[in-house]
Amino acid sequence: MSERKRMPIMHKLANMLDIPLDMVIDWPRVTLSGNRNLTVINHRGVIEYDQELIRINTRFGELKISGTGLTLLSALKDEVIVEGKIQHVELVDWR
Amino acid sequence: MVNLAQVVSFLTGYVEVLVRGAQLEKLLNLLTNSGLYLWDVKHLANGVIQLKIRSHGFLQIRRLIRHTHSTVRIYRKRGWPFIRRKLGRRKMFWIGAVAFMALLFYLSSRVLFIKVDGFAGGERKLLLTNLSELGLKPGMTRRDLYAKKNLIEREIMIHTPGAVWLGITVQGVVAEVKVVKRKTAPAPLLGCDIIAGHDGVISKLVVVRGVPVVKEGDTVARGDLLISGAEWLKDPETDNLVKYDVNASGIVEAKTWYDLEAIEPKIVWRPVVKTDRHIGYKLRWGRKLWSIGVIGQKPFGNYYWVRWHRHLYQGRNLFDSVEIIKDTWQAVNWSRMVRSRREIEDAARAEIDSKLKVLNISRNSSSLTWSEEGNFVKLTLTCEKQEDIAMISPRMERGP
Repeated sequence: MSERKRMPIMHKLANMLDIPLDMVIDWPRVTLSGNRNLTVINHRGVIEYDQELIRINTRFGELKISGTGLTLLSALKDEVIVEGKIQHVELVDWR
Repeated sequence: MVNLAQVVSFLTGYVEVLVRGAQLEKLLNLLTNSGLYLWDVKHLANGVIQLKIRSHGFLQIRRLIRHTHSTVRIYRKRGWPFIRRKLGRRKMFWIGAVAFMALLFYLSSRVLFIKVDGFAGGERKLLLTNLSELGLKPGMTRRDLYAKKNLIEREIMIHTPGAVWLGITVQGVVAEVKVVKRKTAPAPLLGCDIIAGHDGVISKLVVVRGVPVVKEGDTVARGDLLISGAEWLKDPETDNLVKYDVNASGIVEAKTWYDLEAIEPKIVWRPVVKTDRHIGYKLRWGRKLWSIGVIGQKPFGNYYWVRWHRHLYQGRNLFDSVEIIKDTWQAVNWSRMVRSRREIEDAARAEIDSKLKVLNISRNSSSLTWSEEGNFVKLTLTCEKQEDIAMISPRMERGP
């Protein structure tokens, strides 16, 4: 199957209208402010949480955040804000 | 940083809870998927987290807690509903608060202090007594004062002849009374003479008051009495002369003479400019001075220094003005030169003219005298001027 056929209709529409994909499709959006604050929108739950490691599940795979003094500043159904000294952000097994 | 969600949480009330269990991540996901808002989630130890949750949300989590085999304990209750409940139990606090507010309201509705500006000592005391009689005293309500303000101002002006203006302003609990004191003119000087302020020959004498001592054509010296302030009148009953002190006044014009001198040297030392020159540009801002650039070597030996400066646009900045400065050190040879007679005369005349300008004298009625003293030429100009030489002086004791 060609790449063109696999592209969903919303994806095509967003490309055509030049709209950011995360506005149309529930793609995860990760925003890192310096190394102190990281916001994940459209997540699918917290897999693991402690002060040095937070693993967050998303539609495409796992987001691994490591650092020191990590806290969940805010936790909502579709948004998680991580605060602390972030040293490493890794996308694990993303498809 | 306080955001809107935290303000809402404070108003609705929230709790800080400690959760213990093996599946805390699962619990977090269940709570957030249930639509609950969690914040400040802190990992304290293995299997222990602390989080904040709104009080109504806390009531819903019991089932989920049981589902994940966790235990929860309220660590702290925060927010307005809990504060209100706590304060509701303290009846004396509320009674005290109400009493305090009532007292504050009562005291702030009254004039507690009267400040007088402009009078001091006895005058101030008298003014305060008069104000008190008119109703303005500590304890008077501000409402009454506003109603009677114009009346009090009008009445107090009648009772206070020492004031030329009086105004009352209310600032908080202070009534400020501003008074402008009446200033009386100093007592006139009784008895003064007119004396000569310069040597001269009197050409015109007009006496307005007093007794003239000189007449037109008299020669007077500086300090001589011209018009006396003592009038001697005969007493019709006793035929004795009685002295009256008056302020002598009048116009005394006289011809006066001035001797003006200008001395010029015959020999002078003059600089002959050489090619060596050093120029330095500087920028001054307030008290700071920066060197911008230099041209040439600074000359040694004989040189003269000239400074040129120009202010840049100053605007409203009066003190820290910006200025460009150009300093020039010009190398010279000094040579001895004999001045020509014409040059000396021109220089002397220019100096004399500047002195005449200061004294406001014309050169029409003047005579020039040239004389030589060694290496110097002296120009003396004697000029005549018509001027008022009358000068007021304290009265002199003279006989009739």
